[in-house]
Amino acid sequence: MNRKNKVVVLGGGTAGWLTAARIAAQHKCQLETSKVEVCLIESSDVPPVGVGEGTWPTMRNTLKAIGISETEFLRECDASFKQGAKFAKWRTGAEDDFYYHPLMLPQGFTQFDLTPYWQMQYQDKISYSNAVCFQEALCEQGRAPKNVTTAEFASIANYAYHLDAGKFASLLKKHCVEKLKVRHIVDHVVQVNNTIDGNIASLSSQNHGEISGDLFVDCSGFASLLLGQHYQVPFVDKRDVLFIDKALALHVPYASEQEDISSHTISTAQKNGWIWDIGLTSRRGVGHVYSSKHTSEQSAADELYAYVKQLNPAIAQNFDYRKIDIRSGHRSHFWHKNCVAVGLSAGFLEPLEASALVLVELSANMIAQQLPFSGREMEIVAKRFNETFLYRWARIIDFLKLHYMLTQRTDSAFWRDNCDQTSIPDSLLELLQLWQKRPPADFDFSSNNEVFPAASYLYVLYGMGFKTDFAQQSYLYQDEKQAQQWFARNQQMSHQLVKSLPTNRELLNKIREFGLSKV
Amino acid sequence: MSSTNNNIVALNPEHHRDIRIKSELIEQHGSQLHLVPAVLSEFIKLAVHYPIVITKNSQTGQFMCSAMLGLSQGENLFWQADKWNAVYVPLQVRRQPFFVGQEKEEGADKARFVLCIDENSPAISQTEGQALFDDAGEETEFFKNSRSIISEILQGEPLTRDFLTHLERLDLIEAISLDITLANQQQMKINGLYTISQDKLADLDAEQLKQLQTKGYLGPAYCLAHSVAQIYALIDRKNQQLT
Repeated sequence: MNRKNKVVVLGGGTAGWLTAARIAAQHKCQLETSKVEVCLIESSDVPPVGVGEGTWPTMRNTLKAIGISETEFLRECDASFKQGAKFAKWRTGAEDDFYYHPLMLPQGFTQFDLTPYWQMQYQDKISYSNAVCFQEALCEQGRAPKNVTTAEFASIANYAYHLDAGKFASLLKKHCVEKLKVRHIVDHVVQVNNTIDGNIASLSSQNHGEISGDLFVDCSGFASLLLGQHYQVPFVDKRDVLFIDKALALHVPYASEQEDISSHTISTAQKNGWIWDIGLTSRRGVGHVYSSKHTSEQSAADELYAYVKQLNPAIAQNFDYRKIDIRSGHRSHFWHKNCVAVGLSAGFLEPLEASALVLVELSANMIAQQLPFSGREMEIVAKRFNETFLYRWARIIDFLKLHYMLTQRTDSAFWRDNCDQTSIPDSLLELLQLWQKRPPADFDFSSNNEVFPAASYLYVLYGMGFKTDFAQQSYLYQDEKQAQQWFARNQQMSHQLVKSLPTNRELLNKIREFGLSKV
Repeated sequence: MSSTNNNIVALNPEHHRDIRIKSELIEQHGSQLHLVPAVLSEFIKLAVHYPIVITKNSQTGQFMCSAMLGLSQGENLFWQADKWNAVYVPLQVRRQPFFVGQEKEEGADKARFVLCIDENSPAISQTEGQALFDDAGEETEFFKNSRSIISEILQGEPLTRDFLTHLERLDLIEAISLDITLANQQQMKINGLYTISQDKLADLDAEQLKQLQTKGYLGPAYCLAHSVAQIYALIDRKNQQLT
C-alpha cells in the first residue's frame, strides 16, 4: 500500500488535539513524503471552560516531542509547576494530618531501600517522604523545581504541570494546524458508515460530506460516539471500588498577586470525598468530588464553601460552582476494528492521581508508534493495545483504592465502606499481604507497562501509616551506617535547595517576563 | 552595569572638578573577576587572549557574552603581581571607575543615561593621577577616552543582545561542561557555560547564513566559537600557577 494512512480524530478536546499532535509530529506530516495524514473533526471550535488539571512529568517529553516550547506552554496555558501531591486529612482526619506523594524516587532507591530503617527508628520523628525525599520540603516552602537559568524541560527537582485544560486544547489546536499540518474540520457528524467487514469507512458530516479514513480515533468525550455508541462496546463500571460519582468545580482567584502558587496538588479529604486544589498562575482550580450515595449535593457544597472561604474570603459573595457527573470505569476494550478510543471516551477515574492526561499521552504514543498500517497488522496491534491498557487501568484503580482503604477515619460510612474488603480488588489485597512482611519493590511491578512505580506505593503506604513487620527479616537491615548517610544527604539537599531555589511564583513571573532558553 | 559595595554618584563637573584617577590602578577592579561581560565590537581583540563564552544572567536567565578570565569564582588568572598580564583588557574593566546609571525625571516616560563615578574606587585620588577636567573646566583627553569606552559599551550592549537572540533563534547555542584535571590532580567541573555549536554553524543553510552575514553577526559568531579553544590556554595558566 503506497497511499497515505489517513487518521481521523473525532473530538477537539485535550485528548483529541494531543493525540493528533503526537501522531502528526511523530510521522512528520508536514513532509510530502510522510506516510500518514491526520484530520480532526469537532462539532464546535469553542473550547470548553477548562478545569485546572494536573499532569505527570511525562508531559515534558510529550511537549518536547510535539515541538511546543516550554515557555510558550507555560505562558499560554496559565500553567505552573507541580512537584507532587499533598494529601491532607486522609489518614486520621486531624487538622495536622498530611503526607506527600512527591515525584522523585526516595534517596538511594535503586541501590538501597531506606524504608525499613525509617520505620524501625524514625517514623515518630519525621514523615516518610520528608525522611527520604527533599521534595516535601520544597513544596512546603513554596519553592519551584528549577531556576530561571535552567533550560526548558530540564529540572533540578522532578516536576509535572498544572494547566488550564481549555487553554491547553487551544494551544495544541493552533500548533497542530499551523505547524503540524493537521487538517481541522468544524462540523457535526451525522452518521457512521461501515465497510462490509465492520470497519468504519467514513463519517458523514453535515457540511463536509463523507470523511473517510483508515483509523478513527474516538476522542468524543463521555459521549463515546464511535466506540460506545456506534460499536456498543460495553462500559465496565467501577463504582463498587471507587465511590466518587459527582464533582462540584469552581475557579478561585488568588487573594493577592503575591500569594504563593503551590507547586503541588493539594487534596484534602472531606467527610464523603475530597477537595482538589490546583494552583495555576491566574487562579486556583478547586473542586469537591464526592459520593452521592453517601451525602447530598448541599452538604458537599457546604464543605466546598468552607474550604474556598479560607482560601479567599472574597469568594463568599458569589459562591457558584459547576456540577459534573462522574462515571468511574472504562470500556471493556479500547481498540475495536479500526477505531480506538482515547480520553474520556475510553473511561474516566477520579482525578486523585492525575491519571487522565497521562493515559491520553500513553495511548497517543502507542498509536503513533504503530502507524502506518500497510496490511492486516491492525488486528494484532488492537489486541496488544487492549491488553496493555486494560492492565494500566486496573493498576490505576488499585492505586487509587489504596489511598482510601488504608484510612483510619471512621467518621462516616464513606470511609468505613472504603475499608470493606469486598470493595478492594484482589490484586491489591494480594500485594498488601506481601507488604505486611516487606516493603513494595520494583519486582512487584514487573510489567513493561507500569504506570505507578514501586516508589509511589511506598509514599502512599507509609504516608498513610501502613506498618510492615520488618522483624522477621531484621537480619537484612543491618547497614545502619549507609542508611544514616542517605538520610543525612537528603537533609542536606533539602536545606540547600530550599535556600537556593526561587518560589514557584517568582520563577513563573520571571518566565513570563524573560522566558526560558532551550539549552 | 551594576556594582555592589560601591558608592556610585552621578558625575558632576562642579563637584568632581578636582578629582584624579590613578590610571595604573584602574585594572585592579577586575583582579577578582572570573567572567567579564563583553560586547560584540571587542570580540576579535578579546579572542587573542580569552575564551569568549556565553553565560546566563542569574536573575533573568537571559544569555550574555563574557570573557572568561579564570576557572572559578573570584579567580582572574591574568592578574599577576598586581598587574594585568595581557595586551588587551576588556572594556568592562577599562571603563572603571565610571558607570552608566539610569535616571528618570518626573513626568518623563523614558529614563536617560547618566554617567556616574564610583567614589570608593581605589583608583580615585585627590592628589595624584589624571584629572578629568583641565583648568578651563574642559574635559581632558583622559576623560574623553573613558567616555568613549563607556559609549562603546552602551552601543554594544543592545547589539550583543540582538546577536544572542539570533543565535538562539537559529538554535546555535549549546552548553559546554568542562571536566578538568589540573596538574596537581585536582578535579574541577565547570557548568553554566555555553558556546556556539560549530556543527550547527556549519549546517546553516544559505538563507540563514545570509541573515547572520547581513546583520554583521557571522564574523563574531565564528570568533566566539573558535575562542573556546582559549580554555586550554586558561587551564595552562592555572597549571603554571600551581607549579
